[in-house]
Amino acid sequence: MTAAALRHARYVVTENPLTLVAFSLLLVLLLLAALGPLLAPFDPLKSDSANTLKPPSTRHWFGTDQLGRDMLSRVIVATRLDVAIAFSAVSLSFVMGSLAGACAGVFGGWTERIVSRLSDTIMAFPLFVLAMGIVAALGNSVCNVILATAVINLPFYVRMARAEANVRREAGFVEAARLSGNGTMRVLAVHIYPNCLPPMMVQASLNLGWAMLNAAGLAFIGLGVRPPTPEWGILVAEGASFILSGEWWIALFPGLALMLAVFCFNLMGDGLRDMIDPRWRT
Amino acid sequence: MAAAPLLSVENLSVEFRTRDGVVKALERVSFGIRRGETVGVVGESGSGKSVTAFAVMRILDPAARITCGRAIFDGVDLLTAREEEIEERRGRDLAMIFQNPRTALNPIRQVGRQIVDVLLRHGGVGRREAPGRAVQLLAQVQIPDPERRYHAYPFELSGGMCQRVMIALALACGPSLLVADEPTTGLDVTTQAAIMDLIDDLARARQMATLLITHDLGLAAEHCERIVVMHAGHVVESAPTGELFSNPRHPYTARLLAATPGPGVSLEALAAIPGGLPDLRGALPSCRYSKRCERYAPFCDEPLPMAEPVPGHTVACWKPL
Repeated sequence: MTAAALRHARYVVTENPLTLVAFSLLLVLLLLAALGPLLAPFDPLKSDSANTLKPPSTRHWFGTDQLGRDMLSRVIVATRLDVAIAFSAVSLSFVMGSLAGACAGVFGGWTERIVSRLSDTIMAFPLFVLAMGIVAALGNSVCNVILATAVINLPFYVRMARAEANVRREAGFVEAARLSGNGTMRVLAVHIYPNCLPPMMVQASLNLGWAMLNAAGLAFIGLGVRPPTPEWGILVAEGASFILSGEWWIALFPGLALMLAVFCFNLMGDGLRDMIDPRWRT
Repeated sequence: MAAAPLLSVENLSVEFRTRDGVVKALERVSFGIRRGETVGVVGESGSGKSVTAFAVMRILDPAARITCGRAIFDGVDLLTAREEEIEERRGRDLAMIFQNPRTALNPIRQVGRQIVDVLLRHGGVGRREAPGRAVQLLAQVQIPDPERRYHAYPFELSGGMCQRVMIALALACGPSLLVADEPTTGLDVTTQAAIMDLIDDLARARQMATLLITHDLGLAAEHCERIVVMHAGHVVESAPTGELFSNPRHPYTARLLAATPGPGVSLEALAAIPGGLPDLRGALPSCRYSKRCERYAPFCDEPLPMAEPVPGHTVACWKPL
């Protein structure tokens, strides 16, 4: 069973070159996140007053910042935090949103009205501003950044799960499942909910990129993660003030890392769906 | 013959509330099935065959309302029983197979797993034995290489194979009543015959009653002991199969038989039934066939009689043939 799943995963990855690129990037990203501090050539927090604002060289590939800290090390070490924020925020909203949405789609009536209006309310705010508000109100911590990112992503999952579940509520196999004696909750959990997941995986993958940008955006304007913790958004923010004076590398490399990560998540969506949905296994 | 029926539907009336008024889909439908018996319900599309089955299984659309009647199964009225009671019986005592086997199986669950689900729900089978039992069931419905098919997803199987899986699923817990709603529509003729023979054999082996819903008179003739003819939500005639075919009493049944092709019947001899089903909204004549009937007389508008010219042969008509 797992062997077959692995074989299928390999097939999906090799059959589409874009998926291969996406998954290789993901692998690099995850490796950097897992082993970041071990791979970094320098201590990301250690300043070196003799080597401030040095352009990229063989010693410092990404150059150094205004305190002489090695940019390469800072970019590498920042990976873990950014990936963690993106993954936890997306998992949180995926689980909560898809459950609430699926319930709304299946039960209809009051459940649907309450869930839909709540998600409409969230959508009524400019989402980034809402996230700022949540972090500002709850306190400036990584946990709250994750929470805020999850909340602003919630409506998309709710809507999608509701639509998917609604379509499937009437499906023949749902009727058949009821006819073999399954209660409503079991039909929902075993038959309707899993059938809604494949299309939502694509959404989740796209959302990872978006969540990462959102967290970086919050850090950029000074919310959430605080210096000197290395985080791509902060690094870009710190570098931004030096672009005009010619020290472009400080902002460029973390920005590039951020861009590549988002690019990877966006490409990954289709491949991920192909892996999860057995209908694509032929 | 005198044994009490396993399922007895009495005076079942169902209405649908729609935007354009109340549709009287079923009116005073009555019939019974004994243990081990196969009863065919025939009629054209829209005559209420499936609605009858859905009402008995309690899966009617929320817009439907059962206005009167009972469906006594094993001493319990299925129409008024509590939802938990029905859930307990569905799959265990009552099973149903559908028209379209492809959509009736969960597309992203292995077919074997789907059978295991039912077994675990009702079958009194342990988690360890269930997969083996599911393979046995697949073998019983003559699926070749059942161990491998256990892990197949529905889209990997042909329509006929899916229908076999559906049958295995329906019969998993040895139900005493099987409702087969057009089980062979959409399958080719050889597969049709194989599926029907399979249902027949299994029904005989298990003394299972079968309610076969079909618009194919030939199919019903071949497999049923008794046939119930429906028209526009009424049961117009009900008789043992041989009796019905040799001696139809209701004009509609006679026209249906005349419209059924068979060996030695030329195409010209096939006569279409004039007209269509009446609009089931608003006021309806007491005999819903009267507008299409060539034997119509003014007294046909009196409330319908249910005559029994021969014991076991009932006909709802003032001027039977």
